Amino acid sequence: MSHPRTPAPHQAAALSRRSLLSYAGGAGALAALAACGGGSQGSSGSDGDLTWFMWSGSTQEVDAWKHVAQMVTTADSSTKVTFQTASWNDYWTKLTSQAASGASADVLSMQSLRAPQFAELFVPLDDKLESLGIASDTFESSIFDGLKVDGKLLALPYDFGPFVIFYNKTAFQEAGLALPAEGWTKDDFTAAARKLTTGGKYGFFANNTIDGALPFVLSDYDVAAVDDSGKLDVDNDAWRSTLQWYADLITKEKVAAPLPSGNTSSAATNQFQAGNAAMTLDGPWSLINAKATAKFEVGIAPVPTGMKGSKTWTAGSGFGVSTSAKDPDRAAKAVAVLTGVDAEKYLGQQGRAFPARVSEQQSWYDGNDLGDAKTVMDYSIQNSVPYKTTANWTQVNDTYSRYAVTAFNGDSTVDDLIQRVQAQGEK
Amino acid sequence: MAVAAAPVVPPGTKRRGTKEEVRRGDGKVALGFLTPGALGFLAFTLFPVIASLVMSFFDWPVLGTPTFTGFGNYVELFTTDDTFRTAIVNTLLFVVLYVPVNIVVSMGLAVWISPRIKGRRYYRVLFFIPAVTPMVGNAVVFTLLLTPNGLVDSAMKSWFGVGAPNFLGSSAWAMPAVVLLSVWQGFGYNLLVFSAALDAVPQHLVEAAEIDGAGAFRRFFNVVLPLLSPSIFFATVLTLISSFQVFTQSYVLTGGGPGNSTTTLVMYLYQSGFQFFRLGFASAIAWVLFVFIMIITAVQFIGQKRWVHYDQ
Repeated sequence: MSHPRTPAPHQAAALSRRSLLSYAGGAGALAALAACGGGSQGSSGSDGDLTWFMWSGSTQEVDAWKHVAQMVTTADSSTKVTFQTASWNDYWTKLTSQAASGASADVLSMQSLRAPQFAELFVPLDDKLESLGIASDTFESSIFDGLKVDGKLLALPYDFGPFVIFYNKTAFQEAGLALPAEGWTKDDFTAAARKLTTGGKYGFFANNTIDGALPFVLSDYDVAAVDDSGKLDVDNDAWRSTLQWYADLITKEKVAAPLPSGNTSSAATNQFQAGNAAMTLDGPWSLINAKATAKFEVGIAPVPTGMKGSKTWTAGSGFGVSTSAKDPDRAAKAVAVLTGVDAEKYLGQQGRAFPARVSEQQSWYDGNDLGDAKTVMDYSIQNSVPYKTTANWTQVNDTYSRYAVTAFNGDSTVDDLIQRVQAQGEK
Repeated sequence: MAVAAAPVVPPGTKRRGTKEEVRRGDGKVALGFLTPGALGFLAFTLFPVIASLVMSFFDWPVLGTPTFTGFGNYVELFTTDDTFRTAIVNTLLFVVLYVPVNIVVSMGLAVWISPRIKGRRYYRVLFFIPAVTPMVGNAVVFTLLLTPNGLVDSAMKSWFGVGAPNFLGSSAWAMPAVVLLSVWQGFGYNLLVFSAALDAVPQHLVEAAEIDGAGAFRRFFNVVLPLLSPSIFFATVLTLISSFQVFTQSYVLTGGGPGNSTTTLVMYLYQSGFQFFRLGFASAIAWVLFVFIMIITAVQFIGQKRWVHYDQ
C-alpha cells in the first residue's frame, strides 16, 4: 500500500487554506483509490520475490504451508515466497477474479477436478521437467495424469487420494457385525446399513455430489461420468440403475439419512463424524481430522464389490506456474521444491497431505499412526481411475448437488436428476 | 431519499459584491469536502452501474475475451432459460409471503409494546437484536433448528412421537423456512419504525374517539392506523425493495435448493456471475431486477395517494 500524498510545503504556502483543503481532500481520495488498486496486485516484480496462492482451512494448515514455502528459500536463498491464502470456497472465486484483472500469484494451486476449467491460467510444465530434474514416475501416475489437460501438465501434484468408505468401527463391533474389508459386497454393505440403522441413527449418509455416486457406478458398470472423448455422459442405464439404488437407500430401505439441504456438501462428513451415520464415503484428506473429531473409532474400507469389482476414483491437487508469472523459470523451480521430497515428507508427517510422491507415502502412515489404513489405501489406489471432469464441472456438479436432494429425498425422480445434469453438461 | 431543502435567504442579505466572492470560495471548500464522496460514488457506484449495463450486452467470461451479443443475454433470459423463470416465480413467492408477514408481525409487536407495557424500552432492544445479528449467524442457528435430528425435529419426536418435516431438504418446505428466517431477521427494523410512529400519534385524537364511543378495535383501525400510514408506506417500500433482493438467506440456508426451489433472482445472479463466471449474463439479470424494482416502487408511489395521509 502506498502512503497518501499531501502537497509539498512550498506549494502549500502559495495556496489559500480553502484551496488547500479542497486539493488535499481530492488528493487523499485519489491516493486511497490508487492504494486499493495497488493492493490487489499479486505478482511482485522485484528480483527473487514470488507469490504463492493456496487454499487453507486453519492456522495449522497455514503454518504448514509457510513452512514449506520457507523450504524454497532454503534451497535457493535468492528466492523468497510470499504465501497468500483463502478458504477453499473463496479460493476459486478469488483465483478467477485475480486472473481476470491480470494479477495472479506466480505460483497457483490447482485441484485435479477443476484443472480443465482453469487450464488457461497455467504455463505447461512438460518442457521444464528435465531441467528441473523431475522424473514423472516418482509421482503416483493417476494424479500426475490427472493434472494434465489436453496432454499438457499444468501442475505438479503434492497430494492425492482414493475415495473410500469411512465407517464407525465402534458401532460395527457393538452390533456384532464383521468389519468391512477387501472383498465385501454391496449386499454386505446394505445388510450392515440395515442393522446399524437404529435409535435415530442411520447406517449410511449419502453424498449429494457426483463424487459419492461415482465409485458405485464404477464398481457395478465400469462406467465414469465423463466418457473417453471428454464429454459428460450420465444419461445411461449404468447411472440410472446405480442412482436408483442409491436413492432407494434413503426412501425405500430407509437405511440412509434424508439429505438435509441443497448446499451441504460437507453434511456427510459432519454427520459421520458426529456419530449420526455409521458409514459414508470420503477421502484420506479427511481421515486425520475424522479420527481427531469422532468420539468413536474410525475405520476405512474399500468401496463394496459390485458386478465389476471394487473400484473407485482418485483425485488430488498440485502447484503450477501462472501465465502471468514474471519469472516463470524461478516459479517452476519453486514448484519443484514445494512438491519435492522434503516438502512431501513434511506434509505427509504433518497429516496435511497423502503424498503424491510414491516414495514419501509411508511418512503419512508413520507420522499419523495410520498403519492399519495402508492395506485399504493400497488396494483402493490400485483399483482406481483418475476422476475426469469437464470444463464446466462447477455447473454440472452444482446442478447435481441441488437436484440430488430432491431425487434422493423422494420429491422428484432419478430420471429427472439425470436429465437435468446431462442437459447442464451439454450447455 | 432526502430531498434537498430550498436555500433560505435571510432577510436583508445582499446578493452582490463581497458576499458573492465568499460564495465562490465556499464552492471550493464544498468541492474539497465533496470530492472524496463524489470520487467514491463515481468509482464504486456510477462506474459499476454503467459497466454492468455495457456488460449485459456482451458474452463476458471472467477469463478470455468478451464478445458483443446485443440483446442475446436478455433474449436467453426470457425465452430459453427455465431457471430464470423459476427464479422470478420464487422471488415473487418470497415477496408475497414475506412482506405481509413482516409488516403484520412488526406492527403487532409494536402495538403490543406501545406505551401501556412496562419496560417497553427493553422489549424494543430485545426485538431489535435479531436485526443486528449477522444474517449468516442467524441462518446457521436456523439450520441447526430445522435440520433432521435438529432441535425442532427432536422436540416433535419426543412430544408427539412424529418427527418434523425435512424443512431444508424438501422442495415444499424450503421456501417457508427461508421466509421464516427472513421474518426473524427483518421484523425488528420495522418494529422500531412503527414504534416511533405510534409514539407520535396525538393522544387527544385517540381520547376524542374514545369519548365519541369508539371501541379499542375501531380506535386502532379508524384513528391510529391512518395516522401510521406514512410509516407503513415507508416500511412497505423499503421491505419490498429488500425482499426482491433476497439472497443471503437462501444462500446459507439452502444454497438455492433443493432443486431450484429457493433460487431467487439475486441467488441466480450470484451463481451466474461468480460460480459460472458469466458476467454479462449476470449483469442482464441485475438490470431486469432493477427495472422490476423500479416499476414496483413507482406503482407504490402512485398508489400511495389513495391511502397515505400526511396531515394529522
